[in-house]
Amino acid sequence: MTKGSGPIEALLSKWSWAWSNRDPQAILSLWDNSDVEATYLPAERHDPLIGLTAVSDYVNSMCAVHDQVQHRIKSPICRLLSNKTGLAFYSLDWMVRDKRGPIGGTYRVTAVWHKSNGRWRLFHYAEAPLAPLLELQSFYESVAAEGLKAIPARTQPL
Amino acid sequence: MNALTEDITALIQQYVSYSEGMNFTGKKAMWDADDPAPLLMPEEAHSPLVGWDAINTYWSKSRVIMESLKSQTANHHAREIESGIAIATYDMRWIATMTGPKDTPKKPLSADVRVTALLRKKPEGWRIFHLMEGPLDLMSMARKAYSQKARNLFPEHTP
Repeated sequence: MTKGSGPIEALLSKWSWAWSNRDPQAILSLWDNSDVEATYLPAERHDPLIGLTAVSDYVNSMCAVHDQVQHRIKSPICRLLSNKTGLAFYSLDWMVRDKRGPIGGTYRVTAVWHKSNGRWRLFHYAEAPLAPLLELQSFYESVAAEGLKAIPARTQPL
Repeated sequence: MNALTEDITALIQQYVSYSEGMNFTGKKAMWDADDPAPLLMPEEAHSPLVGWDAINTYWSKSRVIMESLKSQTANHHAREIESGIAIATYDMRWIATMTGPKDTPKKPLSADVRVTALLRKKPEGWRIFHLMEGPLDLMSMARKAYSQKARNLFPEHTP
């Protein structure tokens, strides 16, 4: 964290809290609504979401379709690039739950903020998962660590 | 394409051209040498590489792990977010062969990543100080793999 970047770190906490509470209004209150080029790149999309309508639709949908969302920010690196631009990089542990159960993972995030009229707003957000090949390798290793006897029980008796 | 995107696209294309031959000295010259804490987040690294020592070590190891590497970029977009600072996004496909035992056939591996880069205007031109590679997540990539399989197996039903 560089000198003076405390406000950026505080905003990350608000961002994470808003997601963990599935609160679209709180999430979008941190987004720069006035920037028509503001860009959000989720891990599952090839094309970024650009502009308030696209981002708002995505945020509302993510909050509505899941019964639970948890975001945890780890190892943030915050820098002030100037007195009106802030850069944050961090690891994001996430979990969402729907009727099929929970899924989760860890992404790396670049988030760029700018200050306008005395308020910091997020205008560029990009999620970067670990290479899927390594995610799969890690899963195979975790199964190996369970041992040969840990074959899952059938949900229906034979 | 606006002038800024043209300038930064030319820089990025030069940057990735150095992948062939693994010319990491050439790559380093595209970074802002004056930045005390540059950050590189390769897709295969578990933690970000922060600072020149970490980035130099990563590039040195890459020469040992990979036998060959080529990259190509597309869909560039750049935006000056304030005077002298720009953010660029683009897609990159890399193709690599890993080192291994001699006389063992090695098939190349390849993937696409979505890249986010921040650059600073220097007297010598735009220079990178933050670069993050982001592949699609595992679930989306698995769907893409199965979609490709479906098209291969049933081309007449998957126009």
